[in-house]
Amino acid sequence: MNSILLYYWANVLKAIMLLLSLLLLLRGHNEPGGGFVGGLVVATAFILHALAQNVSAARRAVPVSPESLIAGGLGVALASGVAGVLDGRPFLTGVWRTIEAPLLGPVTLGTPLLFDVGVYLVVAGVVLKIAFAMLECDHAD
Amino acid sequence: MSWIVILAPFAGALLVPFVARSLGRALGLVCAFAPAVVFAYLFRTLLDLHALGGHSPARLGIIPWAPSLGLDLTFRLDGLGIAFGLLISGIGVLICLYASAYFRGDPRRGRFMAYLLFFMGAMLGVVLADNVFVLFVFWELTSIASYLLIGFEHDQEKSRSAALQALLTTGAGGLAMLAGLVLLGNAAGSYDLTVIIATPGLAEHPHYLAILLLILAGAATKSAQFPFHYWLPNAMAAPTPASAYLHSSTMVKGGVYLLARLSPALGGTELWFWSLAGLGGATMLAAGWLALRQTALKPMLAYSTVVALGTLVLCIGLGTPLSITAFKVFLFVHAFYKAALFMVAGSIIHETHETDFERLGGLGRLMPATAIGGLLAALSMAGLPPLLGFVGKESVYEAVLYAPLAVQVFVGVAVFANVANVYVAAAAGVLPFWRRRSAAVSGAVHEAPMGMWIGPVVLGGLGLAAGLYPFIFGKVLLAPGGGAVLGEGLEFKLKLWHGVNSAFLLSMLTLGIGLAAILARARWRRFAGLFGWLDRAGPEAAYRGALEGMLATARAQTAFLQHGYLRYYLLAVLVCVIAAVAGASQLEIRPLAFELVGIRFHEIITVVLVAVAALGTTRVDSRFGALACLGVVGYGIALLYVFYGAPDLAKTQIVVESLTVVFFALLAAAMPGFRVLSAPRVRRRDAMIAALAGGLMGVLVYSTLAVTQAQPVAQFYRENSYPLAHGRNVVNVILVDFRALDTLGEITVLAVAAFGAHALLRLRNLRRHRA
Repeated sequence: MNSILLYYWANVLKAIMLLLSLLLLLRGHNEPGGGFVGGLVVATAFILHALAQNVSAARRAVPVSPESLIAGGLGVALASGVAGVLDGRPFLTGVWRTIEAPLLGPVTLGTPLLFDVGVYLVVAGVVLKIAFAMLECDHAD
Repeated sequence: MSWIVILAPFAGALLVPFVARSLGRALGLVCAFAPAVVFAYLFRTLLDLHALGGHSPARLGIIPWAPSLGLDLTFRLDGLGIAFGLLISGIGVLICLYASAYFRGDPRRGRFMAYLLFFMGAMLGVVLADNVFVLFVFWELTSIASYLLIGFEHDQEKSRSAALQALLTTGAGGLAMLAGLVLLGNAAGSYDLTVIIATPGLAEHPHYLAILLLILAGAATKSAQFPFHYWLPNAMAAPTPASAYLHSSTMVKGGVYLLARLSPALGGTELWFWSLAGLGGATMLAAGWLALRQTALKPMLAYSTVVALGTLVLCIGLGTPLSITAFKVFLFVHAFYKAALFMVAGSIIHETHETDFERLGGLGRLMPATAIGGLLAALSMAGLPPLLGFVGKESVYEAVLYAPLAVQVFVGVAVFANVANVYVAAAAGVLPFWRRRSAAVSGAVHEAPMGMWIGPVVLGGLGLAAGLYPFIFGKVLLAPGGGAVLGEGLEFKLKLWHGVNSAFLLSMLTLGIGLAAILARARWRRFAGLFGWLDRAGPEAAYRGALEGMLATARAQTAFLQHGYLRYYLLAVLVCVIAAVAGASQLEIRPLAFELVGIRFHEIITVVLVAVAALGTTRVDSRFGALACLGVVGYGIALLYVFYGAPDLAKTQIVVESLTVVFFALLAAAMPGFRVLSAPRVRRRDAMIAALAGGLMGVLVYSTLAVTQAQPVAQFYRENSYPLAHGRNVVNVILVDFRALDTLGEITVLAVAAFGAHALLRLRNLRRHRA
């Protein structure tokens, strides 16, 4: 689509959506949000990019390939489960540690967040992979 | 944390592909490090075991996996497991060196080494696992690893079908075995092998017959017993380092291991005796016959492996102290010579590109180190003193001579099997080196690299050393394991020479016939060729028939069900769901008591809007119009979520709805416009089904409100979400903590679906380009 307005606002919106997705991901454990919806928002942002410009531009804008996102996400989710095992408890048991972060004070971090990051990456990767493939289809009939 | 040692090969398999290219020649040494660590660790444990008098095996690494199911990752180190573990890791070291040299300069080298290490880890898991389910998981991992290895040359049809054959055969057996293990665990009241072995009276259990037959099915397919022997020689499609490993110390010995492991629990009955001894004997006969007809090096060795596996099963089945001694000795004897001979055969083929032993000759001078390793291994295989093979063969003869029942039958079978061994040994390890050079061997042939001859020389040397000092060998390596098989202490007093007795006379007889057969081999093969029709009617034909039948059924039902019309799929699914749900729940249609009090105006507006939009979907005559209507429905429902306090759902619904619109729009743009709208009759039918489906959902939702549970599950999550999982958002806590395993499964499905969709779209593009 050739539209200067869309081109401009898509970029602005994309940045906002990416930030929003991170916010959704991080607050998901206590407030509405989470990895699934966060991942969907990421994918939507890049699909918008693809519609405003073209698929190859959108592909370039994603730092890694959708396949890597999927693989990485599954890996992160699995790894978060292994943490419980290394702690001597069943696979996927949440492990929580409180650390002193500079500026923020004590922050409690747990493997469920890591697991959610995995979901986030997989969902984003899956939707992007399908969307890009569809957009790249020949539409000639 | 010593269990980490057991998993070292897996760690290696994960790392190797990344470092293979930069390591170059050192790759073999680096890969060999993982099994070497395991070997050292197991050897130390063995010495500890001796210090304890051979009792009280070490149990280690009790990692809870799914404790509520009684499923823990436990490992057990006793004499039997250690003996197998030492073989796997020890020969694994040599195979790593060999494979790295064999694949020098091949870009797939890293991948091959990774598969090999993966295989090694899985196999170690099998022999050291204490929980039967853990054992089963590793058992199946060995099947997967062997699939990858056998099908390594995946651009060749032969490799692919051989890999599939091995996977299907051992996989089917594995499933039967799983059922057997579950029954066994129930009968013994525990899924831990330690407890199962110590449980008395299992043979009187009403499920004994089923347990034995099911487990036997697993063991027989894995260890290529008759009539499942066909997959093993086909597995020769694997690159030689893999076959050398597969045949000598891994996978195929898994079944033998399992039978030995369970013999204290299940053995000692007449049924055990006849089924195992019968199975082993039949395997020895069938495979011996097939081995004697071969001229190609690798298939010949492969069939002789099947002979050896039959011998091992026979020994376990006999169940006497003598036969268990023979089992343990022959296990090592065979592993030593078979690994060595396979490596030698691989080196020969690597250097000369010739696979037929009749066309080889004079290699002794050209490849001296390989020749020495091959000669030592062959002499051991033929059972000549003073090699360990002689001790092994004598023990097998003694075991069958003093068998409790049917001595004549088993003695005859054992003689036949050993004749086949003598024949194969001479053909594979002696003739190619020590006779006149043949025309097929050019002068350009030279010695294989050191990594490739070090294995045969070491293993051949070990066979010689152990044969010269059998007493030490038996005391250190075999004694603790024998007890584990027989259920009581077993003395190992191995001797090289024990006078001229019946076993020795049988040895002489075997050697005589074997040498005669090798000298008159041309005439013998002409005679054997008369029985070629046996191959076409054999078990492999049955396998092929079963596979083809299954594929034909699959094709037929696919043609019937997968007709390719999306709307009929939807129709079928909806009708089935309506029928199933309505039938199963037998809905009581209660008088619906609406409370109109408290319903607010904006809610009514939204509901009406959704209903109108839903109706509109069916009225418009363009795809984009329908899409817009559907969008209104979706966003309206998201609004309802907002009104009723489910922000999480609302958020997800909005994003999903937007994406659905985008996806639909993309697809609709690619499709031609409607040419014909569906006929009124069709529309009426669709409307009816849609109304039924929607009505059913409505009634279901409404009737769930009427159900009162004693302890609503929501209560649990609301109360425990924060204290247990540190999260106030219950929905998210359920997704990432309470039911994280489900979520993990779901994202895996998503990932698979994405690749599937990608493949379909690509296919569509390809077709279009071709058209």
